[in-house]
Amino acid sequence: MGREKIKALIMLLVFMLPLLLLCFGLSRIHEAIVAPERYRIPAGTRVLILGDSRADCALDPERIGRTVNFSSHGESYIQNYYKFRYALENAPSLRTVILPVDLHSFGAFRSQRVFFDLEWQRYIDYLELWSFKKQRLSYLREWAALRFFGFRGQYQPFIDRFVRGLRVRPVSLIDRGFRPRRGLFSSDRGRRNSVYMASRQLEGSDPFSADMVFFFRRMLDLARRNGLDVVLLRSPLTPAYMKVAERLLAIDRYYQRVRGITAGYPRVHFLDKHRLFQKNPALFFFDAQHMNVKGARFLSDSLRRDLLRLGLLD
Amino acid sequence: MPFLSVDFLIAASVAVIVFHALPVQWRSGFLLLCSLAFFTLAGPAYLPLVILLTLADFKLASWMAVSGPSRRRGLLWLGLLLNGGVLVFFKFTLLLNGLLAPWLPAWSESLSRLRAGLLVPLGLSYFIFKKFSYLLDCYWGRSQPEKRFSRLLLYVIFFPEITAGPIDRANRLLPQFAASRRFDRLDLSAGCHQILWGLFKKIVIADRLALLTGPVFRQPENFQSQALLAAVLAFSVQIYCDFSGYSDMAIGLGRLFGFRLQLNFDRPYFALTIADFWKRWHVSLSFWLRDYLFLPLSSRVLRCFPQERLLGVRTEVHAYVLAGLATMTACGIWHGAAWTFAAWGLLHGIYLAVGLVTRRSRRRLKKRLGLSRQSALHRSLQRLVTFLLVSLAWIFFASPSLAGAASLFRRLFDPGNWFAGATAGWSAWSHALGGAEFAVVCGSVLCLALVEALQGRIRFGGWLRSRRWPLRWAAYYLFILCLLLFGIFASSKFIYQGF
Repeated sequence: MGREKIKALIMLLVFMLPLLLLCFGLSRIHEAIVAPERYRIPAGTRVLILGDSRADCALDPERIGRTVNFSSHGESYIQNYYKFRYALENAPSLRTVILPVDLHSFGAFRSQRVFFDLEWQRYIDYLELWSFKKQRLSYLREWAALRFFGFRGQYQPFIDRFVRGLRVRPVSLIDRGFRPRRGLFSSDRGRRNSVYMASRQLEGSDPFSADMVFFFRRMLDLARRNGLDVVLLRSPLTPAYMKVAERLLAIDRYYQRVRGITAGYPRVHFLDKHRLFQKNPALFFFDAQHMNVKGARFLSDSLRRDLLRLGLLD
Repeated sequence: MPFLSVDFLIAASVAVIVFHALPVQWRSGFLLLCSLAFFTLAGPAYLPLVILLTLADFKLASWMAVSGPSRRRGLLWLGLLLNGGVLVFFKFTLLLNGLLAPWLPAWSESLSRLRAGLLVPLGLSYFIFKKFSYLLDCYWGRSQPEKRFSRLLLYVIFFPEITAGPIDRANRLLPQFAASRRFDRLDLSAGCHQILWGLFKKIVIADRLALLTGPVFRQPENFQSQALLAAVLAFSVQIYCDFSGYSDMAIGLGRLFGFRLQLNFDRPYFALTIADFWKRWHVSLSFWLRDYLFLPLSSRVLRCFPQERLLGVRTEVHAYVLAGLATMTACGIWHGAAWTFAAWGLLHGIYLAVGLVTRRSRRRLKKRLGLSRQSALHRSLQRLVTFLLVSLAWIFFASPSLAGAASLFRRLFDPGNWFAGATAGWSAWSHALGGAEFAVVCGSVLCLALVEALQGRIRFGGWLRSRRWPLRWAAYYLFILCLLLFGIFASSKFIYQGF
């Protein structure tokens, strides 16, 4: 290469470096605007709830007491593991972790959903995750896109924050992660919804994906190392959902296998709540698998009693 | 690999760096490898087909050079039939099948089976037209047959151009591949300017306008005439920004490799007449059609009617009208096997014919009215009328079917639909995106119009290059950040990509 070409290449690199730094800075500002730190764990918190949307709308930490609900919609054991790790680093008072063990929890359909999210990037150690995942190049690309160009196309939050002076209120500061769903379950809509959800979550995908089992075990290991009790919670479901699920999955065998995974771990408790609202689901469910406010109240109270019985709450 | 993707950006950047680092004699080979890889990623199944077709063109052109007139003509027709056959098979069988099905059901069924599941090769219409022009130029002696097959193959599948043009001529591009160009930093900066400007048009304007125009063209019955008119005008801007944005990126990418590709757009909405519009819109296609279809057709018609006047009108006018109608209909059909495209082309043909036939009377009328051709008002009126005519024609182009286009025309010109209460009006249409988005659209379109209006007087690239580097870099950073903030990154498709 001639001198002029080398000079051009150096100039290009010198031009790109501040641009990348600028983009990185804007991505961080954007992240701070739209996805502020949601989880502040109050001192003395004893119980940590992890999981997906089923848990975030069903377990009210205020009713359980000394609890924080870290669950969020669409999350799998991968996000749960990283959030668990983050919580342990920030809350040494934790004594118990509640993990959902539902029919879709180990399924493969969510195992690829680990990037593209401003909230998750706060917890997930992507570099570590690459060592477990295939398609490393696409992980690297997505991660870089999020880190450096997460603000792309997002001028609105900047205008809201810096021109109009609006602020996003972190959810955790309002209700510690609990996001109640208002509304009742109608039988007609519910049936359709059940079939759709159950088939989306259970049909065609491996019910025990290697990724999910691996990260579930890691959570159990982490709990054991830190001396925490693990409560595995089987969430309530509508009879309509169960009916579809029974057709798609051998449920008893599924839970036998879950018990097999947890067999070597001490201080693991299993709470089965799936039949809790079978008689009158319309009163307690928002849809086929999510509780409404009333259902959340009952379930949280029931869980509190169980935790007291197990000696996990004072 | 989509043109608008991080993968392509990285691959193209690496390709540019490697290209300039290589010795001159290896560069064409490297570009050919890149182009083959790009084509293969889009659909490896058709690579042998393209290579074989190009090999056939290569051989036919070299045989033409040493053959007598009648054999030359035979070889030319063989080449045209081979390439045209592939184009017709992939693009028009479904249309022909629909036409023939009532009369030849068995044939239609077997053709459907044969065609079912086959994707159209990447950039088919573009590279077939390139091959046509190569064969015709060799036949007419306008260019010499290429001596190296690899160079001809590179011309056919040159990756910046393959997706949606420009349809560069062989005698323009092949010598550039053969020449050993010196590395020039000016090429790099000019190429980057053009790519960034193309990106602005595509991701800031076109993709945002698509969100406004899409629902209107899909369901015109839900909108009042005012909203329909606004959407039609918006589509004119959208398709221009989409296609010229792509062209700018392709030309800019070519420039990064040191090649000057053919200009495809020259501020088309500043055209004074429809004929002027076609000298500025999709220039590589319209000039191709002029050189290889319109002029041969009109001269053939003139030869058929040697008398000076026919039906009281000069034979020349007849020839131009007939050839113009045929050429523009062919232009429409080139875009796709749908009656909407044919209608769009035919309408433009009619515009051109009317313009030609009424040219003298319009001139006389202007003289009587005392209108000066140079007056700003007159020119602005001409531009406005041309823009409106072109915009109306786009209705055919954007509608999913002829019935949809007819419905849109009916509703647009229905006086009762201007303020019909049950449907969405201008306000609902413009607020569909939200106030801020609409403001971004309006601001960016104004910015585009301003830049294009000044483009004749100021050369922005040259002006920027002449500034000191801190100002220049600050302008680049600001522009790139604006692109990133205001761009829409959900879509990676171009309207003209499908042709």
